[in-house]
Amino acid sequence: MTAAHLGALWRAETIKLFSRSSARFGLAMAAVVSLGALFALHQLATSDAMVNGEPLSTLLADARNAPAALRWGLLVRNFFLLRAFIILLGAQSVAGELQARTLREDLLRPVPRWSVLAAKAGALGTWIAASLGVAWVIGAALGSVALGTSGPWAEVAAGYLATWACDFGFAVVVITIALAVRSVAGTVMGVFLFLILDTFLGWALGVLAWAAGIDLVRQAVGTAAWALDLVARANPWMPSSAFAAWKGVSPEVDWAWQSFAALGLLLAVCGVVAERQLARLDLP
Amino acid sequence: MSEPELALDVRGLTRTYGSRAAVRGLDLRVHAGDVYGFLGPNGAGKTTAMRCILGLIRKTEGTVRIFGEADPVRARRFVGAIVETPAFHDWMSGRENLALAAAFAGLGSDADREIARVLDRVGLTERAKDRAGTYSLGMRQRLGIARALLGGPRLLLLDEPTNGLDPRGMREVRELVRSLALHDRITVFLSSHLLAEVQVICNRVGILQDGTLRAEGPVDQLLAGRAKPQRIVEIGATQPTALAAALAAHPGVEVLGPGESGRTRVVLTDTTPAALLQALVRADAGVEAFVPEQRSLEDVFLEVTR
Repeated sequence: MTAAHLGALWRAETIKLFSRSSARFGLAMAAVVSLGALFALHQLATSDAMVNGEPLSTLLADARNAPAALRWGLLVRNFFLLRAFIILLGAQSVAGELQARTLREDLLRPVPRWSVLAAKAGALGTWIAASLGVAWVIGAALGSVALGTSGPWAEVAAGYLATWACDFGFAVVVITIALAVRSVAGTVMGVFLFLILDTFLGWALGVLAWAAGIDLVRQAVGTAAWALDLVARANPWMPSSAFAAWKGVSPEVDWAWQSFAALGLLLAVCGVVAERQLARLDLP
Repeated sequence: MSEPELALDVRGLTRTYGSRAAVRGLDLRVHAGDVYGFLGPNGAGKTTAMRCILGLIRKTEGTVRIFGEADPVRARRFVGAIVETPAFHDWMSGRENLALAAAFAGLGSDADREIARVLDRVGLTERAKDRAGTYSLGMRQRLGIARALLGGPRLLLLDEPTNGLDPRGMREVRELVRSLALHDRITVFLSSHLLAEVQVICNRVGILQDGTLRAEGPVDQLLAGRAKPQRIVEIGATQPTALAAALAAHPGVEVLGPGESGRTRVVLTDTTPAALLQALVRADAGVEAFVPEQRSLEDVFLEVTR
């Protein structure tokens, strides 16, 4: 397998992915979200409305710039809207192709299975980059004209890059689930189940972290208190934390290195699991 | 004279599902230039064997070599295949589907020329820009063959290539396969239920039942070797009265009556075709046809898989 051949696979998978109507609709949604955020910010920042006796335009004085519009766009985009498209596209390109037997046709060619998986992940990564690129171009260009160019460009750019990494990690999780359940509907259900379990586990760990700080609890568990401390520290390593690594883009939230480390770990584990699954899969 | 190169060399191929063996110790040799018919009743293990050969499903035991290459990924450089009904991205055109396959085949800058060649080869150039979802079954099958031909494979594996086609589509595909073998010198490994078709196209056949190969060899040898003595003969003569008299006078002959062609059908119960023919010539019966009835591949198949 040469690098040129792998590049050709990635390009082919990307062309295929972008030819799907769901992928095009997703890109259109990314543009709409960016435009909507820009429009909303512009309207609020120039309105006469009062909040707690102060004009809203004064409260939002610091946010009247293009980077702020980009940040608003990112916050709305990342409120699951674009992730829904990632679930759909990941399910279609892996489970959908297994069901439609087009994946079998690809694997009749002289390509190792891992390369097909890598090409599919690469295509999803390209789509995620395109959705962010569309949002960035619209927000930066129109935001600069409507709101001005001053502001924290570098910080917001870091937020977009971090979002790409988070969404790519999410896409690899979707691919792994798609290979396990092998149906589009099953993948959608599986991803939601994964997210729900992750959320509940996060809450449970939060409760344990809170309990670990209570003397009465520590005395009750005795010498096992170290285990309680360990579990209490696990929350930043959960998938939900990994998928939220981009949140450092907000001025109120610090960048968390554990989230990025968790994202890297999640990517590695899911990559290996997905590769093993496909390698062992009997294709109908 | 040296043996032709082995296109496909399968030894001891076994695939089990739990305690059930779908394919059991299968040995196959397909030589370069063969058109090999792979036959067997439903559930005999043909499709499982073909998928194991192509590396789509894992084999439990055994080895598969394609033109001497045992590594399944490298071996697929020599192979084009259709497994059952070919699947396409229906929202993309025929040409776009082939472009994707060309990328997977690693054709690089030759892709456009190669796509034009295979489209022309299967007669789909005119419809190449139409969405694959609008193609008829026959066209989809031809597009599948076009895809299998990308990159100039030396071995074509076709699993039931005429499945679901109407008679016209079946004839198109049959003639295409025959032409690929004759003119393009591609070795063909073909599974089919249509035994008459296999008998016409293939020079060698293997008959699989319960996952094991029950009979294998050149079609003519298989027919000759398996056939019972040629006991039924159709005789056409210009002098029917002399023919009837000669048949009545010759011992060991039983007249069955006129056949579908209007000729007289007889059973040789205790004589040879040569002796009967000599007697008819001596009787001036005006013999213009003396045709021992051939057993068909279907007869052999039913005998082997009984």
